[in-house]
Amino acid sequence: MENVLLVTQKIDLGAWIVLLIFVPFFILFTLRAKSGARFPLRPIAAYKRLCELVSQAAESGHVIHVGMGSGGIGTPATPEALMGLTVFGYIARQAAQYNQATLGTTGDPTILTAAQGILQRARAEAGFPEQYSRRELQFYGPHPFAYAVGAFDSLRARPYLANVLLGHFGAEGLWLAEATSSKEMSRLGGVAPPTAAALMQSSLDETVIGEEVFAAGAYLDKPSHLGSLASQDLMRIIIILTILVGSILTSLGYLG
Amino acid sequence: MKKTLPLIVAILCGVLSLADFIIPNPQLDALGAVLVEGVTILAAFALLLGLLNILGTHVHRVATGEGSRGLSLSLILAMLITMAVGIAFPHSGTLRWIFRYLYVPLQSTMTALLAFFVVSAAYRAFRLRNIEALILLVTSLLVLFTQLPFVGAISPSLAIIRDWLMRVPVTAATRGLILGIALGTIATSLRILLAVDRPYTGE
Amino acid sequence: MLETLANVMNALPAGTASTIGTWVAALLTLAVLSFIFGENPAFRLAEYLFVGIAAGYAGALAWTQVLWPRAKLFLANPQAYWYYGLFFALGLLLLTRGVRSLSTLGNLPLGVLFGTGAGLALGGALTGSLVPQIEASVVSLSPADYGQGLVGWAYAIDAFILLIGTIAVLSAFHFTGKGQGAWSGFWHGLLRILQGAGRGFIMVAFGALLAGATLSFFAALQSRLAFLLRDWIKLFGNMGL
Repeated sequence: MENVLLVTQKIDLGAWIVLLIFVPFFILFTLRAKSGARFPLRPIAAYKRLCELVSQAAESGHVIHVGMGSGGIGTPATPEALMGLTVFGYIARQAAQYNQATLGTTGDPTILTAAQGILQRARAEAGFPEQYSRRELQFYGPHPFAYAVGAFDSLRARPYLANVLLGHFGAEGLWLAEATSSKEMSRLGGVAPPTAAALMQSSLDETVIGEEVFAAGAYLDKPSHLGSLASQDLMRIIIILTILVGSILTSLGYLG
Repeated sequence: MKKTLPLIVAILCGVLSLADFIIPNPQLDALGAVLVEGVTILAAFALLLGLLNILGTHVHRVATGEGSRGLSLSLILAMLITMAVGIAFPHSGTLRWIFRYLYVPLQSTMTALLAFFVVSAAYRAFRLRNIEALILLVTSLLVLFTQLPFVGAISPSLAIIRDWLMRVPVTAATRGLILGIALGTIATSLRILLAVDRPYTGE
Repeated sequence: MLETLANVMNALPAGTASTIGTWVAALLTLAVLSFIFGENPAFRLAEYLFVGIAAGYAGALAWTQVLWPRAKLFLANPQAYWYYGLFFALGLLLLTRGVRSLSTLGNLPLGVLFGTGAGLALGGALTGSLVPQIEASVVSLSPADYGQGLVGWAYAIDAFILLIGTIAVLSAFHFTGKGQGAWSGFWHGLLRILQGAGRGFIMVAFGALLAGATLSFFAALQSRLAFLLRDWIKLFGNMGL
């Protein structure tokens, strides 16, 4: 009995409550989004600009560089790494349709292996599987600054329409963004953690910060992600109400 | 099968590692530890693939003359020598020498370059002349100047303002940002665990 | 040959290896710093050497610290360490990513990586960020809880700003938009005000974080300059210059 009590005490009740509220709403809204329901989104300048740049690239044949950062898949940085891959997938699919080149760089080898699959599939679905080239994806060692200087070197090779940096970056994000500031290209991207976001925001032309990074799919080409944005918004309201009610009760002496 | 098995494996691994977090159970702890070991091994294999990618890129450049042959050759040699010495003689004086006199100075000077980069980035950001840029400028200058030793002597109230900024508005903003990031992380993870996203299939 | 290379530094007369090392480190430091004057061949050489050495070093660590010790354990006792065998097999499948015709075999180990990563991130976000931050955001607004008179009121006002700031910043990320009707109009008006305030709070935090990062970058620069002026210049003295 004592053991059961001890286990019950150790269970993170708060985490369970959040999960039990979040998951049903997530499933409900995602099913609605998949069945065609649309949730109007507030505009985010960086994603709007990215869509414009992709159209521009299709017309002009210029290449967009996507830096996917250094966050490893299999680690807690997986969601940020996935967002870098989402942006790369969007650009790779558009480029593949017009049989144009693309460039993805990363500082993590697990991202490289995932991106290779995305690029191969994009080329195959566009009907040009033979156009897949391993050199369109480049890895520069797992040291963040080695990645930054390596990607910077890749950007010397030819003129690029844009330098898009989205994923898990630390100070190397500022390095790569700022080293390319004198080049004639649009620079945009984003990163979630506050310090890295402050650095990126100071350097790039357009940025997404914090939670906006995880919304990339919904704003680009994955309508199924709209459901998760709607569930995030609902959770946000529940959290705000919890904080407000909790604070009022605490002020009145009903809580700790 | 090429799509279904990875899907089942991804969901299974995800649910197991999540359960390890939120259900206190020794068996789950052991399974979670095995998964973390597995991820470490897979990341090491992925690194081998990554090293082949670097080698492939630069061997191609040496062969075709794209870029600078000499620089690509120096990269290949630096990589192969470091790796060979590191694997065959991990405790040798040469590896220590490479680490101390090549790796560390290069890495720390790349970091030092950021001092120049951050100043030029901040200058460009402040030139935007909007209200957000103004708030950014005032706060960062205040925090920077109050770190200087003589500022405290000139005006002690500046340090009080800085401490208040850090304790109240900066804490509030960081808290809000972290809560938002947590919401985004949870939603993105759920998309993988509930198979809305299947990036392992190249989707 | 490799052994000779590994022992070359030990074979040198005492102090020679460190003198050569300091010279090399100083020249590489200058080569990297030269980038502030623009692109040049010295910086490019340093750049290529850095990528090569960092990659080689990581590869050596991956073998000596991760793969080989676990392979030895598996070979010595396959029954106890069966899972290492399983993950080595998955690792080999991951290597097929490099071959186009076999590439889909790599989906399985990637499934392990994505699944585990998602579980870890979800668990971490729930127990390490979301719940503790919600708990920390609940504060008393009553001056009596903070002290007597003005002090109590000052802290209560701070708590109020903290509460409003957190809520405003969280609201600044609200994504989904417009409904119709009076209630919706009120809600979106309130949201707009909160979002404006939230952006202001974020900029204050970014300003402070930018300042903190700037200080750490200047500390790194100072340490490199100190190395040049202290360790490297000292060598000139030793040479009798």
